[in-house]
Amino acid sequence: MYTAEISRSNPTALLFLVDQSGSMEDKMSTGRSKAQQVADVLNRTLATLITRCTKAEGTRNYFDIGVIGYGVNGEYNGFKGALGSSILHPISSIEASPIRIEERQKKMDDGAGGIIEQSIKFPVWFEPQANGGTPMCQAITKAAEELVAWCDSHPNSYPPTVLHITDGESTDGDPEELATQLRQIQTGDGPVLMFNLHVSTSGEPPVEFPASEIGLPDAYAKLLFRMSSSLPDHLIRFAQEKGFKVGMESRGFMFNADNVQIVDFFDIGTRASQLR
Amino acid sequence: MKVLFEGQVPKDLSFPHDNEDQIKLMPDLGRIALSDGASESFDSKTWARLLTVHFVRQPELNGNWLPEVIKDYCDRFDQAQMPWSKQSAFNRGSFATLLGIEHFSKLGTVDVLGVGDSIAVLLDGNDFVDSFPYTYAEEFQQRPDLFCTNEKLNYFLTSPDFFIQHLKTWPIRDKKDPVILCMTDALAEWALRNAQEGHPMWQLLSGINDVSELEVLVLRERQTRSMRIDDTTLVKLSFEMEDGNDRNELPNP
Repeated sequence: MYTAEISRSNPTALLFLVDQSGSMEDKMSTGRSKAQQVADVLNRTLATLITRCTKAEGTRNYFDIGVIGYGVNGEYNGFKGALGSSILHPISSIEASPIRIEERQKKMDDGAGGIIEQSIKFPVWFEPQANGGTPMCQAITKAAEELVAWCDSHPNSYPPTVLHITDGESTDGDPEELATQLRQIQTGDGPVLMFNLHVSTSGEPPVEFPASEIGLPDAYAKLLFRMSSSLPDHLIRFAQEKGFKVGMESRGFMFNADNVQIVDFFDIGTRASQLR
Repeated sequence: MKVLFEGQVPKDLSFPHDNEDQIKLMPDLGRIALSDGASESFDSKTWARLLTVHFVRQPELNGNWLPEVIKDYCDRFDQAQMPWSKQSAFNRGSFATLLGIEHFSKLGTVDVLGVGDSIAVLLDGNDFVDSFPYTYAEEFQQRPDLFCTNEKLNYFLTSPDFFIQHLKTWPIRDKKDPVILCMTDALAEWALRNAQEGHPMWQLLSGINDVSELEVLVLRERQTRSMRIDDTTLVKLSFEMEDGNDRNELPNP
């Protein structure tokens, strides 16, 4: 399982589920809201994936990518404009259709002990939003609909990865059974991977890729743990290279994540097997 | 030095021009170079080609060597005309291995420069003598140093033990029938793993004299998932002995 090489004829899918409920307005240690922080990391992750897929001749379609937001209007397509017509898009279409390209300043080492600011292009596809309740069940149901169809048409591909980012409990029912069903959808290379990230402003120490429910702080954390897939071997190795203490039983789950953990979660979660 | 065989099987037979393995052979000078361009790169095919071309031209990696190859690469692109995605991919860099072989016939030695996971295997007849830079199949699990067009990522080149790690000299004068097989990672991992499991494939690999034979082997092993799907290259070298005879030279038909 999870050994299929990713190619243009056998791409994989990445589907982001992003909680955009009212509590995502809370400020993180960076002074920015959780919604802004998540949107920035998601946009940067999309740009990084595009960079990984871009060759001199153009962007190769190794990934189909979608974003499902959920909040005051239930679940909805997280992309707008040309990408608003369907959930999943080949990565070359995403490359071609950012909402805008911002010029941002990046602090860099000047090579002589100082720091300089360099202007970089920052494409934006996904806007922050924080409003309403947390209809998590609707979002997971929509993800399942999309991925059943995707897996049917990609039987030989590395299975889809769902990265779910949330800061609160579901307001439309218990999502555990739906998450179990989502993780049963599969290609010939294995079932869908679902990784969950709990974003917090509590200042409590983060829990990173736990191997068991024991020691998790409350029933909500335990629920998200049970909703999460075990990390496949290549992601265990990648997480270990980044300095995380992970083993065979570790799940793709972080609790009480602050700024740094959000970046790591996206980085590790999108390292689907080798591109060829 | 004689090149007895060189052959390649692309990762995708429908896109042979996308093969990012590059070979440059100058047997008259006793030099050959092999480079495997990484898939996740802006233009690793060009980068791999330039590394091999520069190596056979100048096999001593002095302080100017890599900056000159990088300049040669960068001069081929106009960043200002690129859209953001290509600029970003260009800045991220292109990555490639370099396996360089240089034969010193008077000394009876062969220098092997190995950066990354392309390997050379020294045989005496069909018997394994040594391999470099990897010896065990498990080593292919690690993230190797690769030459990059982004100069900052070549920090390993300035390490004091760079040549200890990446250069090896094989004496071949005392070998009866010295042969060197050069190969890129998918084939190399497969060969070392089989040898470790007690099924050495050296005679089989050494006996390949035609690209179609290499293709049959690679496609069969890919189908059984014994070999990773990747661009695959094999080069077989033989060496003249002091008596002037090349004991591995193919007989005339």
